[in-house]
Amino acid sequence: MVRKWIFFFSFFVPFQFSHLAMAVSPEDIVKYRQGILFGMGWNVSAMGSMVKGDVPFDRDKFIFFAERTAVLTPMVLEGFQPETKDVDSYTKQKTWENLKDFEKRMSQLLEETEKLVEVAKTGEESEVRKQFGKTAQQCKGCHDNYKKKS
Amino acid sequence: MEEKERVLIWDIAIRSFHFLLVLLMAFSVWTGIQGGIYLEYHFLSGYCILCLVLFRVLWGVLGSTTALFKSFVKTPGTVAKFLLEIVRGTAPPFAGHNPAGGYMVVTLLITIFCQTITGLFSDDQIFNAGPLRSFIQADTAGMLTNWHHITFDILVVLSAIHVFAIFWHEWILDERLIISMITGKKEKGKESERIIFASHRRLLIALTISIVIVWGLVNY
Repeated sequence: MVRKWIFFFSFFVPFQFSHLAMAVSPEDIVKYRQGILFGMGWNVSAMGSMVKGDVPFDRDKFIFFAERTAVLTPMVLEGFQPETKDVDSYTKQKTWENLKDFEKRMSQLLEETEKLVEVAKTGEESEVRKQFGKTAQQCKGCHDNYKKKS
Repeated sequence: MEEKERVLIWDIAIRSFHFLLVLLMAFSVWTGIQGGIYLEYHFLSGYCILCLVLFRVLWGVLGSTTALFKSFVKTPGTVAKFLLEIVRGTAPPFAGHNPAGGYMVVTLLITIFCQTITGLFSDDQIFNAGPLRSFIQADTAGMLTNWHHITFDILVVLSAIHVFAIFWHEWILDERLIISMITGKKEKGKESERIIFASHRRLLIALTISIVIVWGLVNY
């Protein structure tokens, strides 16, 4: 629940700090979001290897990675500011025309990630696997629509 | 309408190959679109498809007459002539693949081959990566993943043409191709007597070779 408030608050962060925008270059904003997303990928991959059976399922570790992913998720959106649209990145141009949809998908991702934390704590391993799949599909949703592959 | 004698044209290998390929491709499309943990099955399906393609290539050299590449890959001139005859409605029926269909077989095999090979190097940039992904750089993998999607689009178009051609034969030319592809039998024509069917031993050899190659690629 707290994360949800952070998430909603994060929508307003860019506006509140807009008077400081001169200090942060668009390139740095891109680096920031790429860093956060790289960190998310790190943690999601760690859970993925457990789900795929490459490494044994370890509930404590899984909860650890899931919680870190849930912490990072609300931070991603801060890095997607329209002023970065001319910076060369993996973000498709159409992202900026569909920011509302993008934000909606990001909030859905947060919901699924928070659910993943819950299920990791209480659910059966098969349920964890299922919820992890749902979360990863949420990742895929934006990747398919808004991310260039190379 | 009088019943003509029906003879075997397509051996069990070709028929099984064909419908397994259809099923696996449909399954791959579905799992691919789902993503997430479904990609595990997408990968397995892809390995099987690559096995099938390799098998078909071997069968095109070792297999029964109607499966042999040399029996159905004709000169482009023959294809042009055939297509012209199709439009005019004067094309003769063929026991095996007709000249245009022969090229479609080759085109589909090449495209499906590219589809599976690019898949081996692809990743979803979430938590799934093809078995050969670690041998290449991230940017190259991104490019190959893009190609994996482009060849998919090409396959959709090719499949549409393929299905269109089948219904052309069914409805316009009044040839029962679909049932032939299931039972393997067609109405007796002059060509059908010359078909030599390959032995089961060859089938086993071709199948073993293709499975070993794919197993080696995936577990390298």
